Amino acid sequence: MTAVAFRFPATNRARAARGFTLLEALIAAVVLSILVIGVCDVLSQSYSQTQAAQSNATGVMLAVQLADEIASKPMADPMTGSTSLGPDTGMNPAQRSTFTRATNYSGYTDTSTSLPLLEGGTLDVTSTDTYTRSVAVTVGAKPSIDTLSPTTNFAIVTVTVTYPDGDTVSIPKFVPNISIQR
Amino acid sequence: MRTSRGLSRIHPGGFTFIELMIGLVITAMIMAAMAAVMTSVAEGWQAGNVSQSTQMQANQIYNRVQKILSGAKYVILPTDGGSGNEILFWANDNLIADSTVEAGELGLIEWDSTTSSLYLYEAPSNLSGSQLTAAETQLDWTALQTLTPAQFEGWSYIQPTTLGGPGASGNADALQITGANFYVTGLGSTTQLPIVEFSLTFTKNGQNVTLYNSTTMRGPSTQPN
Repeated sequence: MTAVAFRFPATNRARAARGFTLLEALIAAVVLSILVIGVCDVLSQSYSQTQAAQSNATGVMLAVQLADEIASKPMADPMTGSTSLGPDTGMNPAQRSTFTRATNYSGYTDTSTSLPLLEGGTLDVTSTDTYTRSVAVTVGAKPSIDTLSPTTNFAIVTVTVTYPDGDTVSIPKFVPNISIQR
Repeated sequence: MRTSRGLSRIHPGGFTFIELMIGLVITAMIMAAMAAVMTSVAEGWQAGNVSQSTQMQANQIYNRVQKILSGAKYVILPTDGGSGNEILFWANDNLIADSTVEAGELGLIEWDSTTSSLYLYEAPSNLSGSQLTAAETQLDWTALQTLTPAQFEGWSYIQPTTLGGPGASGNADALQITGANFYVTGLGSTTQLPIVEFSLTFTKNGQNVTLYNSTTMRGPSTQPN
């Protein structure tokens, strides 16, 4: 048995001897390109996942910062005891440095590309990507079964960050109605 | 043993020159398209890795700064409503728990533009002898107000720790901190907790990332006597 005969069984020898046709070569090229595109797609998806994780970290950091800041303030006005939602008369709704209580933050919103600083001025912290932060405050959002707690006993502050792709993350914060004494 | 005649019998047909050319052109087009896609993905990965690496390191630095400042008792510099690229603070009341400030209870976070790094200066916990005696020196508010960061760094028992950046290594490939700002508000308030707002600018491979955060001082003291 010769080497050629070993490599190509007798029934296929004549066919193998003809070599590949252009059509076969094209089919092989198409199959190869489909496989490569498949690999590229996997790489691309992996990259997207990495980007999403990073985006999520940025969004959570922005939300936690604002939630933490709000929780540093009392729920009710230290002077009047007011728990009305939103900025008081005379306060600039876009300038949270003037807010004196957590309930002032109700309805507050800002964007990461022009983030208002407590110090004054703004800072772009995400360059081209825009994250929007918004705050919702609910006073005394107790369960209906709870008939004992006063409605002004606490507030639930929810900071929601909307990502550039439209996804959102919300961080709730419980703010009890106690005065901060130092 | 094969002969040239035998070989020609095995491949009697093969491709014509035109077929080969068409095949080569198609293959080249596919390869060029694949190369473009791969290059794009690789560039994306590279940018993503740099950005992600920066973000991760930045987060670590932020967490450390936040942890240090949230436990602080009082901020001496900058003053209430002021800002700067260094923050001198009464870190804790642990050396002598007497509600007064001892020298060894102070801490300083300072951005150094020369090394593009952020440092924490503080007294180590294992002081003894004359250094411990010096660290236990009580400081009143007048002394604290006139204390400068340079003086504090010069105390023999104060040691620096690199919070971020290349530090003394000078490694140019390390994440550089090319800007820092600390702002303090609410120190004098009796109705809300003080907040330290801070922003740090990180640079790596020519990319700048400015991160912003704030931390609430959880157990602040009133102004020391």
